[in-house]
Amino acid sequence: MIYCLYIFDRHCQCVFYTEWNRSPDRSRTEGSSSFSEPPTPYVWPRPLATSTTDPRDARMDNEAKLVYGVVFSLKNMVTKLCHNKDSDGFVSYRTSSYKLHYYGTASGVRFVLLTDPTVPSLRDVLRQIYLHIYLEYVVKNPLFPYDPQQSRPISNDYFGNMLNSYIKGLSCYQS
Amino acid sequence: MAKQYKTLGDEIWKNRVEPMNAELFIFTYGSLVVQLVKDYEDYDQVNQQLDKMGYNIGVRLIEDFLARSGWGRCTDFRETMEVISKIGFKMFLNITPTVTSWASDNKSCSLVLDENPLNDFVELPLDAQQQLWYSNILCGVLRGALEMVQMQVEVKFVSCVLRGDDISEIRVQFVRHLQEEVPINDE
Repeated sequence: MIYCLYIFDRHCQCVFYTEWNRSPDRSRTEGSSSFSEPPTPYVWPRPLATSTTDPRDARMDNEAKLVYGVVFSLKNMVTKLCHNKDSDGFVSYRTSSYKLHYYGTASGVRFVLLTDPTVPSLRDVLRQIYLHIYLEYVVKNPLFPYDPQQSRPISNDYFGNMLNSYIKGLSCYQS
Repeated sequence: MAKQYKTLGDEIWKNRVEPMNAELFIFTYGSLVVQLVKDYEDYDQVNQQLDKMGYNIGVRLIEDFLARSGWGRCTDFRETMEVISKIGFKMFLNITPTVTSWASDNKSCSLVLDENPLNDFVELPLDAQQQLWYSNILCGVLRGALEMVQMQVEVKFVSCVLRGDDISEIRVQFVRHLQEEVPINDE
């Protein structure tokens, strides 16, 4: 089962977050069977045009920082311990309740995907997201203000939709 | 080692690049330069603008390059330049400039463009031959792309066949490695 995806840019900022199969109250309690998936997943940071607020917004900032901190430290530790230059470095870690998959590019874009612990390596999935969705709908989008000195949240519906349908098409999406 | 880059470059060019019409590309670039010359009426300004445009292209193009080539990090500047020539230029322009004239400290070198598609059909008027670097956009692209992978470089044309020189040569000077940003500690 896939829980959520974070995208961080080269300035260590979370520029995109979205979630699936994650109940709004953030606690996976027993009675969660009544929870039904909304048609469009929750996205953060919110596009400026929407004035609606979501109770989840307040917590996201902190959560994104925490996730980045964990990934950043682990990546550095793994790189220091491993002397093989050709290795992929930090790829994923697993706890009893979730698994974190990581993919980073040389240009400093970082993708983090949280899933349940039984899912096999999704590094390739993250690479596909970078290659076919991030590249096509963010980098090659002439309307996206791509300023290398500044963080810019991805508020591109098309990107979100493509990502959503790609993730939902994966065999491990809801199993 | 060098051969391996070339094979990869050829392979990407054959299988992972959608070809586009070269004439359309060349004429579009040509009219762009002409328009800049009309707007600025000063060749130095035009050079600057081309460099700036190139920079903005480079910062995006690097993602396309990394994604399509699957290339990770280069170990040193020498390797970077080989990769740029054999894979980068090959992938986007179908040319492989020669990397040569290394400085003794391995921090600067020249890319000699044996052929340059941008130059096709181009003849510069006499006054422009003194000042305009017609393909200056390439310098900006290299600068922008390398900055995104934490390398600060200075890139400039030193000679160009359109100016009557024997060869077209781009000089690349490595300045420094940029530090990767770390999260701000806001405890």
